[in-house]
Amino acid sequence: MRVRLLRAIATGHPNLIGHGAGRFALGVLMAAACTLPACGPRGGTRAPDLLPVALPDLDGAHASVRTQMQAAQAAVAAARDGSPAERAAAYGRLGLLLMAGEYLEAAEPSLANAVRLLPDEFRWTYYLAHLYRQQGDLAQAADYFERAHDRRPDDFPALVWLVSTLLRLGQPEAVEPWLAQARALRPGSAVVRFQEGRTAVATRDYAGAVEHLTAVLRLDPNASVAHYPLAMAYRALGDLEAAGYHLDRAGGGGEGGEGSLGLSDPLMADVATLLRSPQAHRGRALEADAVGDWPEAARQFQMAVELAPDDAVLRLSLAIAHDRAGNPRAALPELEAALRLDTELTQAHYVLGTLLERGGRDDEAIDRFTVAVAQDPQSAEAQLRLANALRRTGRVEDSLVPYRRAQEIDAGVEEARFGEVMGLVRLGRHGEARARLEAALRRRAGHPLFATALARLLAASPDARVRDGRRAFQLAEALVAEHKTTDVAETMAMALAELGEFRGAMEWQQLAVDVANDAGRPDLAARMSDNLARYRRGEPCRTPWRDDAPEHRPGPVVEPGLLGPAPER
Amino acid sequence: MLSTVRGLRSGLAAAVLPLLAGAVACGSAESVPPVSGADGGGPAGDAAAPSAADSAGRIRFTDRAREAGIDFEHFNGMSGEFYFSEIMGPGAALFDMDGDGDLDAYFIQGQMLGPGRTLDDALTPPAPDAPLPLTDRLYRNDLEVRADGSRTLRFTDVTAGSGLDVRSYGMGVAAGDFDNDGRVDLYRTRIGANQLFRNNGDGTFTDVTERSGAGDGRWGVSASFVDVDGDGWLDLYVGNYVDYDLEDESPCFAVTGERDYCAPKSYPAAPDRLYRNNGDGTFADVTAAAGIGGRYGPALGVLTADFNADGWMDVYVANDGEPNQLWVNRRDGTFEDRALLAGVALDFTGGVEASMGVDAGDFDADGDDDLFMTHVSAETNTLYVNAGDGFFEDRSAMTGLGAPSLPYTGFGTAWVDFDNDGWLDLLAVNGHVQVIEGLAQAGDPFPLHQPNQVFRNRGGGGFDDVTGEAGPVFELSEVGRGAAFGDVDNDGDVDVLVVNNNGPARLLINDSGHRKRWVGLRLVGGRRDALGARVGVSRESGPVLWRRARADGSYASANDPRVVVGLGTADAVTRVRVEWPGGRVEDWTDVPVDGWTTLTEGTGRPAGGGSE
Repeated sequence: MRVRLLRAIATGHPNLIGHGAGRFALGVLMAAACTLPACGPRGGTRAPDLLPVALPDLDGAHASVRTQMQAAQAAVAAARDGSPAERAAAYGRLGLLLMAGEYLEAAEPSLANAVRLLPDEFRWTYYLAHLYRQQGDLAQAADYFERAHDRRPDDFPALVWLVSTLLRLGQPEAVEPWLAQARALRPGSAVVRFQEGRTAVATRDYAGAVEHLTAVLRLDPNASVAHYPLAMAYRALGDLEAAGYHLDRAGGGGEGGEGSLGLSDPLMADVATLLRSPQAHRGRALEADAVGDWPEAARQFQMAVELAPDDAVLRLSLAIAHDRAGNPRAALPELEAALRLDTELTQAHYVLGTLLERGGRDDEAIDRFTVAVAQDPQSAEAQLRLANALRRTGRVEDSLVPYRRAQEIDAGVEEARFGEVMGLVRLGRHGEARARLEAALRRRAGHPLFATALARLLAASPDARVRDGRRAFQLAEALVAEHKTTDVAETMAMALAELGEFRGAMEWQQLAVDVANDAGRPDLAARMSDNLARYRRGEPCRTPWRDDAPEHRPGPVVEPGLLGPAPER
Repeated sequence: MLSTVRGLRSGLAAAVLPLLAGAVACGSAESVPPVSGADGGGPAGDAAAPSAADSAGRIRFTDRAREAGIDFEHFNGMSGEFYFSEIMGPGAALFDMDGDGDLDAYFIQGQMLGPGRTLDDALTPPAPDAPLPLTDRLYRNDLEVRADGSRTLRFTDVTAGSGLDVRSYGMGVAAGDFDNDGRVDLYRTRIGANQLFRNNGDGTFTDVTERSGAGDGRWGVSASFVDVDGDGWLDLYVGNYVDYDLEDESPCFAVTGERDYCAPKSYPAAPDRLYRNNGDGTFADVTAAAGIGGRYGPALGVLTADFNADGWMDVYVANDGEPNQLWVNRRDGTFEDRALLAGVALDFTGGVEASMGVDAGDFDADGDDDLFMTHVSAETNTLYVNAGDGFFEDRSAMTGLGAPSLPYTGFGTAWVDFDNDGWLDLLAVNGHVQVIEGLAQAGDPFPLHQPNQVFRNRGGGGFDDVTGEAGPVFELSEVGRGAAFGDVDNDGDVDVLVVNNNGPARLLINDSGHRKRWVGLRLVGGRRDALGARVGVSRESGPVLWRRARADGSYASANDPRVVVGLGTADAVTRVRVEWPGGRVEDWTDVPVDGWTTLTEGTGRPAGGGSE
């Protein structure tokens, strides 16, 4: 997050500031304030002194931000003759917009004016407290949170923030009265117990900390923010096992961690959604994305795109969010628009390719993946997707190059290694396939995918130079000990048949057929029945994988109609 | 009484200073009579010119860079493109290049950034009188100490012909005698292959990167020479930041749509490197074998110390926005990251922080080293207090260090007893990493600048922000980055060399510390500074004052490996104990105060072992 700071305001020499110059400058402005038209009595009772308010230079800001800010400023001017409540609302609105735009320095006088105009109003005092907190002025923040509490003693977030701020100030001894009030407001609240736990850690009352923070986890088992201080407390008590347990589960620290405990703060939530700019919406979209709220992410990206329709990256993000939200049809035009805006946007080519292949439009998908690897030859994922699509559509020979390239880029992409092997099998190059599998197993001994494939090849290759029934059996025997799958059972049957052990082969194959039937896969059972019949006839298998085996059709499950009909090519 | 003693001793100072670098007699400490007490100072160029206010025990500095001859100005190469790399440098080194007993200065320079860009494209071009082409700069310290103890601090630019007139965009520097020839060598970090410069001993340096094999090509910032395997040769730990390619940089924006610098999260972290010194001028990359390569973050600060007191050096890495690492040496060539359980990976809430600079020191005089690190604004600088059992506790808020740091982004820092009262204070060099709105509104062309801060130790329990009384130099607002700490004028207190991004270097001469008694120590093992050695100074009363000989820490910079120990109200020391890397423990009882003494490993009285 960009942090705009008040404290380093320049005064006089551009490179020279007085320590605490921000405060000093504010004092001067306050003294001079009533000479400016923004304030002063309009007859009747004396109005409070108000601070001059000015918009920051918005030249670099997005037009939507300028519009919002200028409208808010105009509202302040328009409210000049209004009631204090109307004027406070106008100043407050401007202050909040500036705060949302992280113009903290510019926001301060606006919010301060709102407080002066309506000193008994909770809201503006509370916001001003948060502004000081964001500026790092914790003493002022604590002061204003306390004032806010005075105005609305039953406001729970104000109390929680007051406690949190005092703890950050290193004043744990000062928090108990506020904690007591918070307890009275929300008995049994995880948020209160959490603050009690933090206070106990600060005062080195580790047993107390364990009690409070354990209670937090009882009240809210998902309160990951409680685990770290709890771990530190257990550690201090010498219980390293418990400390390690909680460290493994820690998360969500940082200021405002209370939010993860379900602390609802509607006023601050309003600020978070106030500013309209592509970047602001994008930020909210990413927050939604982080918690898996894809529809909200798509909604925010949509608003960002409306404000910045020529931003290809935003359209790409919107497309991804649409897809994750279960609306791939909406993703398609966004990806196409993104690529019209920026044909060099490699990730858009790639994402579009993945969408097209899921929709069964393989030729188009291959086009996208081809562009993606041309633009970013170092993308192992794009190479792999291209290779899979080529192999899936029968261009097996062509698929071998991107498979190998993917392995060169990232030796850990086992899917590319396996894909290359299956491509070689499909091409009848069983000797090469065997060599690749041997190498893969040297690299990752016992890897079930490669071990199974090699056992099948050794057992059932039509090439006698490749076959080795004994080794196939050894591999299959090791596999069945660890992996009880139909695939492994069928492989064992192939190996036994190659060794002439047809009775055993039939037993294993029957087992595979039965399991497939029991699992509700009669299609699979039917395919395997062919081999069962073969073994009954005393014939070994000479087809390690049938042409319609799923191993020969890599890639995602095709969802017909996912994207609608393909355009004419 | 104090002035009388000083008067008696100061006359010998000039004659014996050169002995600092020499050999010492077996069985006793090689002492250099005191040189402090420059009461008569005043004219420009005279270091340690106190004012009446200093006698109150305040921490006070004066910037004497220009008058001492240091005219280095960093150029960051910005052209309005907001390149991430332009805001991260530079560092600097204080090191005794020529073995004459005083600290010379080395500055890392930037260059124009961006494809096809020239200085004509610079937003803030170098000053008209700046030497071109832009190179790193080397300044020799020609400190003159007169018979009356007064002194003139003068630096001479000796860059030309030194071999350090490097013309690539640099980041930071580490200093250490990697070939054990008694001369301090330099390791320069940058985006791209780092460089190792061997000190030839005649004011010149030779780039031995290729032969050494230590030229890591990632974006290095802080590095440290450290003997991790106890073989007597300094190995090298290189902290790498992020995987960054300037030509692939995508623009970043504030929430309002205004252009701004990217955050480090925009880039993947780059793995650190550990190089083992083979003892023949070459290094072997042992990162993987050491178990370090698999866990890393965007490293900005690197610090080495024996955190678990087992005689083996450990490594602490401060990461920018990801958990920090405490690599504990397992004594078999491998390391284990124990930061999380030790309590030094995260802040007190369990949150990650954007760590920059770091140092370790015994601020509470309980015999173990505590960690302090600087952070981005809106995060506190963090003090991890060592409980003595290998576990640390974040006490930033409770010690008064948290809240005052919130508005600032800190970089260079160190534990130093600036006022020699026996308690370690702190200095933080500040400068933000994203546009500060108030400055931008004022039309500032580089709106990241912030003032630096000084925190005075109240006696182990907490700190006071004494920035406001530390001198006019603390009213400056600059984009501070590196800071190298050392006694530049050899007067018994620690000075600070501050380097600013896109700004002038500042030489903060300490005007206050030498007013109290002190002991200056150079710890030598073999032919070089015994980096990692701990020294405990005992007085008639009060806790033992433990300090470390170190050149690393801070940010991207190399510090004076010598140790200045302020004695507070004591007039003498009763014992000096040194815990040498490798575990040997020796005592000295005849170490004089208010002067420099070289303690060489193997020449003290063997002690029972262990810290007090």
